Amino acid sequence: MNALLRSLLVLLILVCIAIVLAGRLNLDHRLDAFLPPPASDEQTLVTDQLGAGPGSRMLFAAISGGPEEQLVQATRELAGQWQTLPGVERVDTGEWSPDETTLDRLMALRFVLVDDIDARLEADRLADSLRTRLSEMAFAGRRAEQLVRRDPLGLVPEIAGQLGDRRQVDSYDDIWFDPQQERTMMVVVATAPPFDIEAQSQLIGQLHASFDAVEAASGLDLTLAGTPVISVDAAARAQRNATWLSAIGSAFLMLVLLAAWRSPTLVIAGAIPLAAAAVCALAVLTLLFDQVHALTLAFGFTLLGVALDYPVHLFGHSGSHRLADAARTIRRPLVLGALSTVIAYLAIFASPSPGLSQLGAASAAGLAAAALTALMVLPRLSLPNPPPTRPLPRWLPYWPWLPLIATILGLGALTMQGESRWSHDLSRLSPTDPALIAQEADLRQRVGGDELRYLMAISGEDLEQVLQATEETVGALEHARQSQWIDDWRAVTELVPSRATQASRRAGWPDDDELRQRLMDASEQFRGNAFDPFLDDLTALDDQLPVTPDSWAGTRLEHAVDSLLEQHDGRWRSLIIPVGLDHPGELADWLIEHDSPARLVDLMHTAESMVAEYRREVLVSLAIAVALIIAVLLIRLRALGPAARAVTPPLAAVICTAAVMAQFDGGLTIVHLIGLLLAGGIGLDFALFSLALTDSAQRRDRTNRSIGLCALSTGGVFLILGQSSIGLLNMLGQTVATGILLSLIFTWMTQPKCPPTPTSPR
Amino acid sequence: MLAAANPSNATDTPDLDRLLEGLAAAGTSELSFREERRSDLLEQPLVVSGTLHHDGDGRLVRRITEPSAETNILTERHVEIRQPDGRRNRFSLRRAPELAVLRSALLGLLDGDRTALEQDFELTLEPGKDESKQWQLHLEPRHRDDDMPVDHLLIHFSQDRIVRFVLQLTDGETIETEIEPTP
Repeated sequence: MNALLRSLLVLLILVCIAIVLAGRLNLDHRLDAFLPPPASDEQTLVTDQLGAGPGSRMLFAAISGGPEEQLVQATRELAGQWQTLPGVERVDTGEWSPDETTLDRLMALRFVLVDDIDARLEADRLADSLRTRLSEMAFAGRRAEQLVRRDPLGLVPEIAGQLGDRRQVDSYDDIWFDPQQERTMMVVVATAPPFDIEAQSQLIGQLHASFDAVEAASGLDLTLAGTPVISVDAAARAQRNATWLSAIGSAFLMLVLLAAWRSPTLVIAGAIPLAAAAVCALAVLTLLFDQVHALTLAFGFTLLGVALDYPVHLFGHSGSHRLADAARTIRRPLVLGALSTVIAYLAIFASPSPGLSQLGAASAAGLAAAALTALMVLPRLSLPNPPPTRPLPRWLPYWPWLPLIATILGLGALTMQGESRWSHDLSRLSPTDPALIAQEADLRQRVGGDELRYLMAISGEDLEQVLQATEETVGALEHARQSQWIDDWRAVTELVPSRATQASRRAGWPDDDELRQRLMDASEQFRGNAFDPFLDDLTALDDQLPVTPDSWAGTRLEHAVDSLLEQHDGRWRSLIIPVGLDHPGELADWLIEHDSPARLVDLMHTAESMVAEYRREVLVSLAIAVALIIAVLLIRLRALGPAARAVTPPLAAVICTAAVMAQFDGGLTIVHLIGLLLAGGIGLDFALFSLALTDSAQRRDRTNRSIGLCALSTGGVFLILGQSSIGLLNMLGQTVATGILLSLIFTWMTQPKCPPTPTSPR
Repeated sequence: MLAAANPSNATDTPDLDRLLEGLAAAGTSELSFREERRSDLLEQPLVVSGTLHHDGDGRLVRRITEPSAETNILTERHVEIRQPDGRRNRFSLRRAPELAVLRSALLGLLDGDRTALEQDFELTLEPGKDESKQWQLHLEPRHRDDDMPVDHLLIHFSQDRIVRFVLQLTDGETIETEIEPTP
């Protein structure tokens, strides 16, 4: 079997193993899995809301292109169909008309869901209520009679009105319309979180399919917007972009290596260490972790790109000798470089963030495998030597002081930038289409939807205490409303009052005889027995079970309760969602000053502070890694001078790259830090090879060619990646490409001149 | 308002065209109405009273004063309910088909538009049952489906003005409305 076939066979086996291992991975798409565990109740709230909060699960739908009647009919039919889809929690069209089950439940529980019972039953109020019932009968005739008999005080419409959205939106036939009356609007709340791309994509497809199938919607247009739409689009764009750029990058890499080695066999063999790295990385992930974060795979395979440098060094130093000899020659700097990088990744493995921990473990295992494969497997494949090359001219001056000066300048620049060296803009990490964002903002504003940036949270171990604390906070919010800090709010106690409140309300209702008399006194127009069904319900009130969160199971209000009240690890948490909050600072201060059990949580601010804290942790991990690497180098090189010459160029490159990206790329993010880690690892390899293998003109030439080829191939691929419109890829690509270029320059410019080759005396 | 044309003689042959001309000649003006609806819930019929007028833009406006104040604006396709506190709500007239029938009939009569009336109703003009009501016009909706609760509308005239109309619903309910010009 010739070398090409042997190499192909080995590569194929590794790829097959990698595919099998990848298939066994249990992927986790949750965003919060890549963050460190939350350290406070506020941070827990942020990760929960980011993951599955109602605001992030809202889609906005607009139907246009027809007369009002057609739009209304199409909207009603479509809403009915969408409500039955498994991925839909609820559909709001403006008309909050409960279904039969929900209406029955509201009717059954209405007596304990309303307050101010004494005031309601005052003579004037009763008379008003009954006059309103008469108006309803005047309009709807006998159609209204059944409801009037059972609910003369209009409790159910009142409760329904409170539960419906507090939106001041134009409506026609109880369907939301935009002010121009050209579009109807709906809000669809999905059950799946926005990062469950597959589920959201499926749902969006089903929504469109339903629309196409509705006859009433013939000739009309459907527009969908919202966080799930943006997420699905971003994922699709990321995939298209990544696929396209990966194809270009891979083609570029193959062309460079083919041009350098002029041998398809060597190109294929050169991929074996990378394949081995992938297999080991996937094996470690499968063995050590129950679930693997999707971003770990994306970043991990990027970081493993440095594994391509190992065969470049091996083939570059072979000359006319066997590969086994070349392996012995490069073993020391290669192992030292790989070991240093592995140490850095092990420091990342120790991170409390599950995503980063996985990244560290996978990268450390992968790089170790790649180094061993390059040194021990490739020489046994009887590969041909690459073609001989001509000596490289030295075209850069020898400036050994340059990295030190650059380090000082870089540190100075970073210091002067202050806090602006860091970016807190989380949206940079996501490949979003500005048009979709604008569309989402337009429709959200038109249906009066609030940005769910602020929440009030109350937690405790006892449900009754949590509910009572919620009611206390809601009572206190009246002050905020009167002060015009807030328009309204939603709280679970509208549907699940505390037992104490329920008992108080039950006791507040008079017995049926007394109420019958009051009703008759309030309106002489109604017959004495007109409200018998209502009074029968009142009589049964004492035997009724208390309202609990489970009371709404099976109704349209079940999810409303679940989104505002949850139990986790034995603790209950109740949320109060503010509506029209214009003065968050004043409200937050007032809640604290009055010892309110609730705190106003700014989700955005808390998320940003979590990211900042996370960044600090990553920096600490990296600082420990750098210290360990320096220690290893000192031990292996046994002198401070060589260790410093090894560390200085890559360190200078990393610091200068950080300063450049902080200044010109809008501040550093965690993605930049990961890119700097990779660039530092590659730069350290350059420096170690330069230190170890430039003691003769021939070795220097081979080393510089290898380093140059590594810089061109790896740096070129990341430069291509850096052209992506997707924030993650753009930041990572540009950071690594810049770091590699600077590492190359600093390494070459700190190489001393070779001693002249001794000549034989005549 | 509905100014009398030449005084009509109860024994004259009914002439729908002349009647409609007389109504149209009066121009648009405000009418007071008093409507009665019977219900098993009520001791006495429910009285709804107020004023109504044709605003000239194809809208019939009912300003209700009893049982409580509100304004209903009936257009060709929808009814808008305006409350004194500024709240508004609009519905398709399909949800109140009896109001749709009333609107079509009254506007057709007040405009004297026989063509429009015959498009929506089968018309039968008969002498009135008593002297105070000279003529009665029987209007039966042409477009009947399951959602049409109106069996017929009977409009009574005297001295070339509408004095009463009775809306007979298919479920047996009768809505009687007395009309007189607003002073």
